[in-house]
Amino acid sequence: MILTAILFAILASCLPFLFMKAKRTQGWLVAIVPALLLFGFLSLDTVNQGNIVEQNNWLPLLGLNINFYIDGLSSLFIYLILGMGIFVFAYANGYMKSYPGKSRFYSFLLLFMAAMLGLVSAGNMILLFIFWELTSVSSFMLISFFHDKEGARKAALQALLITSIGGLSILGGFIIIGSIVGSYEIQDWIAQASLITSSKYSTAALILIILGAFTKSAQFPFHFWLPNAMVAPTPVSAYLHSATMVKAGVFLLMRLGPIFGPTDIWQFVLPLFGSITFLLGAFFAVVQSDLKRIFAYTTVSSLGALVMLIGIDTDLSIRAALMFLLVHSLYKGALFMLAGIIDKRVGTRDIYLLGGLRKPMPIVTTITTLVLTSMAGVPPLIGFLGKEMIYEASIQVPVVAPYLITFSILGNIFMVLTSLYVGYMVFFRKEHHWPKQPQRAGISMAFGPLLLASASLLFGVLPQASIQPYLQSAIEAIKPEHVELKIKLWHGFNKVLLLSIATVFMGSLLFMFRRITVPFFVTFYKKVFTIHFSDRFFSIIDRFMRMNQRKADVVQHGYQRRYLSTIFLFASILLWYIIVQTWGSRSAVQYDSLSWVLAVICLIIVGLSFMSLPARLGRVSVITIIGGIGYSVAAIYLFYGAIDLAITQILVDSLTVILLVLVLPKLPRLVAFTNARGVVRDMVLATVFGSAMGIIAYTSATNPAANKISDFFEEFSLSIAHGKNIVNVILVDFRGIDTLGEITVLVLASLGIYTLLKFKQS
Amino acid sequence: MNTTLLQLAARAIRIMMLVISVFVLLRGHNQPGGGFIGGLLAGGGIVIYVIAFHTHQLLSKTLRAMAPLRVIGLVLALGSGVLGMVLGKSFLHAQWFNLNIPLLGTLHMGTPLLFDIGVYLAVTGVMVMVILLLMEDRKWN
Repeated sequence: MILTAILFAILASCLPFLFMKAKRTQGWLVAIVPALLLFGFLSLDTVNQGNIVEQNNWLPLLGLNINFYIDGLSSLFIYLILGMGIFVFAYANGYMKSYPGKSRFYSFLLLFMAAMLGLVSAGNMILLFIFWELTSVSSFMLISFFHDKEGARKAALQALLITSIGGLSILGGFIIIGSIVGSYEIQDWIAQASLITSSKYSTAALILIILGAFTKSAQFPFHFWLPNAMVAPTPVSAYLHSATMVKAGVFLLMRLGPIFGPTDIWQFVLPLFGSITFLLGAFFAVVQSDLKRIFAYTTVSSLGALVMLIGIDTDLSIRAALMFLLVHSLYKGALFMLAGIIDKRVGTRDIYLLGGLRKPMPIVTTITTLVLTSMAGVPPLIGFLGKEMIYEASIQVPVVAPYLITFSILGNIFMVLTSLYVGYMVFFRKEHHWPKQPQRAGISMAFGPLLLASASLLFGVLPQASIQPYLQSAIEAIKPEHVELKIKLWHGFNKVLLLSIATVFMGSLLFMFRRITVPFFVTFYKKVFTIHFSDRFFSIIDRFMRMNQRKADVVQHGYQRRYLSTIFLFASILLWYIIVQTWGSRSAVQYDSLSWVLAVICLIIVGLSFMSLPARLGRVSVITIIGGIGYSVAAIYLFYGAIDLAITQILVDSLTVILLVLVLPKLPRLVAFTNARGVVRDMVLATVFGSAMGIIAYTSATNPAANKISDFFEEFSLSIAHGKNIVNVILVDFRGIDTLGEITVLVLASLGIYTLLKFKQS
Repeated sequence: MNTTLLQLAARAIRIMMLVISVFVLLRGHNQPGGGFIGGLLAGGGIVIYVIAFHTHQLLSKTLRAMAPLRVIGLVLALGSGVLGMVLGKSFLHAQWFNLNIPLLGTLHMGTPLLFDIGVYLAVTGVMVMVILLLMEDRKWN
């Protein structure tokens, strides 16, 4: 059932091309796919009916199975992915209207959705890894959608490289754990958690997995790819880079929380990097001027908060993480969509050019204000609940509470400042420099943000009725012994509420003195953060490429004669090693009675070989002599009655001569490259290699192998393959797949030759 | 090399080699022969003909005619494999059946023949194409 759903989603990525003619409603039509899937998954109803396990064999001997495991955590993510999917496709209908290649865009977006669904419902960790990589690839395709712009290509490459470094490292981690447990199923892992954590390799596995999760979820110091990925079309930013894909790392950490949660590394590394990312992201958001980059940095910051909460690993912190995950997806998805609307309608995303949009765009102003309020964490929106829970979770940590609380408060103060500042700069201040006169947004584009904003409000006012059961079931997936915790808007007057009030107050204070504070932060940012991670990343890549260039210049020098000597040298080392190893173990030599015909043919071959040696011979003479050798070999085949081989040898030899004659005039003049020393060197090499080959040939001819494969062919050629010609039966039946491969290579080579000869002029 | 003698001979040689190549291909399963040898023979015949009557039109016409042969050959070989799969066995598992042809009697046939025909066509196509491309490039004659 789940496999069917995911296959359906993957196949559906062809659908947009069918709807190509429906220019005005393509996005709405595509939005049917997530709607259908959402309906299907809601009917599974994991909240009341428990976890779902689905097993399909793939390569059971290797532990690879297409197994799915859906619990409360997966369900929460599935609803997020599909719900946001509907809004994003509807939004893209308006946003992508005028772009060519939008069918490709929808197709990749659907493929991404399928991969993401697979990722969160996979029960086999290798399967999870495959979907993980698929999300990276589809993200690459979507970031580079405007592939004619260099910036887009660079950002896409950066995102792909960073996330695939992470992907490889989680694969390493999975394999380590898999070999400890002897299974790749997540259920087995959770059941044997103590076995995993007591193994001496578990630290390595954990670090690898954390690295992977950090790259995907843009944690410091890998955070820089996410703001750069904002060159993608806005629906992509709203979907992949705020609500879903960047949460895959968080998802993975939550999945493995029951296993690694109690370990020291987990509780040290995650809160440390999480809190740094939380604060830095929020601070970087203040000093940006591009709307999308501002939101990208607040996304980084929120991801940091999530990682920090997961690392604290108490019931309260996991609840806070899940709550904040939901909160963030709701407001950030909406914010990106709104940024896209403003970009489309006004023509810029720079907050210093925008301004006074309150009058021409009243609806957008209302929605954005609502959503920004949620981001600032002001009641009665759901963002308030999220922030409350973060404080609640940080306060009750044993040793490091003061440290975590400081980071959380500072981060949230910057969030409040960003919310206020963005709202003021874009909508409420008087002066503006619009590139074009703003117009109202269409229904298709405003639909998503409006519903998301209403959800933020509704869930904030009535958390118990709407989201409580889903969150509860998700928490139970991570903390099975968890006691039920009520989610309420009003907690009573306590320390946490005091912190909340202080945060909003401080943020507002900073906003009131914005003419001093914001320029101060910008200069501070420029003075202190002189290392640009993104540039540094590219310079590392460049250096790596140069290093490879130098290496390739040594190894891949382009001289045929040197390649050949390298091959001969290494082959003779290997051959001589084997010869020396097996020198004594030779059995008694068995000579067949040597026929004089065969002896004459062999002598001819040897004689011809020597004749071809002198360097003064022209190419034509050498080719003729080699042709003669070929015919002599065919004579040997004939002598032994291998008519097929003989015919083939004669035909191939004749054709080779024809081909060489055609090619000869193209070859450059023969020039002697070798000096006297080179000749000696070549002679030594040739002697060593030739004698090794001679000994091997002699040995194999005089020591018949114990069980020969030819016996099998002889026995079964007629009985099961219905052919008397064994050679042909081998070619077309026993080893048919080899022949298929060979003719494929042949055809491909002919294509290569065609291109080389036909297009060399142009 | 536009000599009458060669042209006369080439005409006969081409027909002869093509007929022999088919003969060799069909008998290949039980006697010396097969798709590869047949393909080389057929290719040789065509090449000799083109060499004898060397004109630009003939060359490009032959090239155009040969190009699809390669693909057809590959598809046939692959198809014979898929046929084995469709009929319930693994990929490339040979399937045998008796074909009843009125007046001629029963013919024992199998997918390996189809496979061999695929090899024959692919080899012919590739060989002729490569040699003719080199000839065209060389501006022979």
